[in-house]
Amino acid sequence: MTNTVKADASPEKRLFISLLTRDIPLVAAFLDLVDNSINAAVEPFANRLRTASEYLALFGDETVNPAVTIEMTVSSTRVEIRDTAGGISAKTAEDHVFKFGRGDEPGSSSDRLSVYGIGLKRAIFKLGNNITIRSDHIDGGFDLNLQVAAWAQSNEQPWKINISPRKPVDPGKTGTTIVVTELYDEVSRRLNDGVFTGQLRDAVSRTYAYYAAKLVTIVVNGQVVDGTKIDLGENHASESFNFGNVTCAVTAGIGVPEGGAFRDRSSGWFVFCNGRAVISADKSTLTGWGGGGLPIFQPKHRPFLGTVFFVSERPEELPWTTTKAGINEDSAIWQTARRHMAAIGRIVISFLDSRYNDEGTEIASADLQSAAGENRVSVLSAAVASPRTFSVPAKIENASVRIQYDAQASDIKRIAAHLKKPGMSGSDVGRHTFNYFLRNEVGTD
Amino acid sequence: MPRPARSTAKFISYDLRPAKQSERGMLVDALKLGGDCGLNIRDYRYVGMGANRFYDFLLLHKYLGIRDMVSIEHDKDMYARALYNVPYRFIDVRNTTVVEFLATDRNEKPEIIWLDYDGGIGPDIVADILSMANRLKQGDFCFVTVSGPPPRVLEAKSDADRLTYLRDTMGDVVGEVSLEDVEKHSFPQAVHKILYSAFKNAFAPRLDGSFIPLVQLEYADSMSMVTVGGAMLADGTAASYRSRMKHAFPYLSTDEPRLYDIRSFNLTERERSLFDRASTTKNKRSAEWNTLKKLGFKDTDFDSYNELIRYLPRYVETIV
Repeated sequence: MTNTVKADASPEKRLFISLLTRDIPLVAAFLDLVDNSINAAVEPFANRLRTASEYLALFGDETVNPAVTIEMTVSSTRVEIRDTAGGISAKTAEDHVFKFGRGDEPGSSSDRLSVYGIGLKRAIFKLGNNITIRSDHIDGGFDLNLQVAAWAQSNEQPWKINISPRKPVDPGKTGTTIVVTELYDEVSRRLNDGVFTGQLRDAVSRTYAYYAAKLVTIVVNGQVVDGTKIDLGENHASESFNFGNVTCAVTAGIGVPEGGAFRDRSSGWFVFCNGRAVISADKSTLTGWGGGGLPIFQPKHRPFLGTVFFVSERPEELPWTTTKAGINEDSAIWQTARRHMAAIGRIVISFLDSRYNDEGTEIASADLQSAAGENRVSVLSAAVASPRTFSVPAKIENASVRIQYDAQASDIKRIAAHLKKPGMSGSDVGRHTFNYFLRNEVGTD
Repeated sequence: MPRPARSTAKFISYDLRPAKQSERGMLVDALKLGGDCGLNIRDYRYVGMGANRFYDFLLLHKYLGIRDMVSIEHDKDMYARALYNVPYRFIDVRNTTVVEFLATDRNEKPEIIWLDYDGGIGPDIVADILSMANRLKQGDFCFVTVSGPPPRVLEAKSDADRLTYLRDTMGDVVGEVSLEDVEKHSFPQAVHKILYSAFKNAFAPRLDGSFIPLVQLEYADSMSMVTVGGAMLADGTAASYRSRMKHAFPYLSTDEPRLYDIRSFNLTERERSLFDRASTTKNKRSAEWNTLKKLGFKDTDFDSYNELIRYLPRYVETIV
C-alpha cells in the first residue's frame, strides 16, 4: 500500500511579485491603473455599453459629459493617481480587490475594462515599496498602507493585506487615490528619462481615444490628454461577426493624411476591446502582414488603415492578454477575426499595390484621396455601419509617360557645351533633345 | 528697455556677437566650477567645432588651461582655412564629420565636447546626443548648440504639420512639445524641449551616475540659438556641482527644463557705465538707477543686466 503525503506547493510572495511585475512595461502598468478608474467611471453607463452600436450611440449622446476626472502625477520619487469615480467599498476591498485573480467568481456585470483581477496589484507592485490607497465610497471606503518588502517577508497563509474602513461619504465626494513612494531604482530612472511622460500621454491618448473627453477627463502632470482621433475615408470595407458573447466589427480603408502625407503611426491595424485600444498601427505578422493573407508591409501601404472592434459584456471572453497590451494570438476569436481582416484588407492593399508599376507611381496622391472618398468617418461609425465593400476606383489613364534612360556623362556634357549651357542637368538635356526631335523631325500638332 | 524704432543691426558681424560671447563666458564659468568639485579641468580634452576663428578654444585655453584640443571641420574648403587660422599648435584640426568622429575616435582622457552646429534641430542631432551618451565617461561634459527657428523644411508648414513632422522624425523626445511651442516665434522652446529630453533620455540607462544639465540657454545676435548641455557625474559630485551652480547661477536650473534667455542689451557706453554702477551698489535707488529709469529702462532690465554683467563683452572700434 502506498502512503500519500502532501508536498508543499504554496506560492512564495517574493517570487510571485517578481514574476507578476516582470512582464508588464511601465507605461502599461500606468494604463492598468487608468483601466481600474475607467472601469469604475463607466459603471453607471454599463447598460448602455453592451454592443458596438451602443458604444457609438453613447459616444454621440450630447447629454453625456465627463463626470469623472482621473489625474496622474508622476515624478522620479512619487506616483499618484487620483480619480473621482464611485470609489471602492470596504466590503469589496476586503473580499475581492486585493485577491490575485478572480478564481471562479464571476466578474461584476458592469465591468468593461476589468478582466482578470490582477491589474491594480501588478501595477502598484511594479512601481515601488510604499503603497498608500485611500478610497471613499457611499457605503464606506478604506485606507491601506502597505510596505511591500515587509509584507513579502511574512509567511502568513492565506495572504492578507491590512485595510482600515472609512466612513461613508456623500455621492459627490467619492473617489480613490493611490500613492506610491520609495519607487524602485529602475522605475525612478525610467520616470526621469526625459521621454516617459510624453510616452505616457501618447499611450493614454491612443488607448482611451473612446473614453477620453466623453466619459472621463484624464490629466497627466497637470495637462489634460485628449483622445487620438482616428478617421478613415468613407470608401471603406467592413464586416462583422459574432463569436459566443463577443461581437466583432472589422473595417479597412484609406486613412486621412496628416500634413500632406500618410503617417506611419496612423497606418496598419488598430484593435480595440470594449473601446480600449489594445494594439495600435500594427504592421506585423500578428495582424496578418507577411504571410497571414496580407503582403509584408511596405511604405506604399502607408495609406492603409484597418480597425477591429471587439465588444462584450464579458470582458474575459475578449482576446486581450492580461496586460491588455497584446492579443492572445491563439484564441479562436482572434483567428476568426484575422481571416476577416485578411479578406477585407486585401482589396485595399491590392489597390495600393496597383499605384506602382515598373514605370513608377501610377496613382497620384490626389487620386488616392479621391479614392478614399470626399468625407471622413470615425472608425467607430465605420465599425457599426452595415457591411460594405471597398469600391476600387477605375484606373485613370495617364496623359503623360515618364521616360528614363542611361546616357554617357561625357555625351551629356558635349550636348550641354554645344548648347552653350554647360550647367545643364541630364534631365534638361534629355527634355531638350526630345523636344528638338519632336519639333524638327515629327512636327508638333 | 527703450529700443530704436527699427533696428538696423539685424545682422551682426561674426566677430561681434555679444550674446554668443556671453554664452561662451557662462559656459566657461560653469566648467570652472568643476575644479571646486574635484574635477581637474586643466587635464581635460576639449572637442569643439572651431571653424576658422576658434573663439571657444581661445577661451577654454585662457581661462581653464586646457591644451589638448580637437576641432572638427567637416567642410573640405573650410578645413584648409581652419588649418591656416588655427591659433595654437596644440589644436588638432580634423577634417571629419561628427558622426565619424564619435564612431571612430578613441579617447581615455576626461573630455568636454561642444557640438556647436549652425543648423536647426533634426534627427541627426538627437542621434549625436545618443552617441555622446555612449561615449562619455563619468566626469565628462557635453553641450549642443542648434539654431532656434524652424528648419527650412518646416518654414511654410502649419503648426500641426510641424508637430507631426517633428514626432515622425524624432519620436519620443518630442513628447513634451506642444502645438504652442512650434509656432514660429516660440519654436526655440520646442528646440529646447527636444534637446533637454534627448539628453535626459540618452543618459537615463547609465548606472554609473546621472546627467546634470548645467546650461539651457537661448540667445540671439542675428538668429536665435539654443544651447543645452551638462555633465555626466557620480551622485556625490552631482550634488556638489548642483549646489555650486545654484550659488553661481541662481537663474539657471540644474534639475528641470527651464530655458534662460541671454538678453541682448543695445546700450551706449555711457548707459552701460550707469548700469555697471547701478547693478553693483547696495543702494537700489541710486543716482545711476534714477537716471536710467528716466531714460525708460525697467526693473527687469536691471535684473537681467545684473545676471549677465560679468559676461557682456565690450567692443571698441579702432582705426588702424
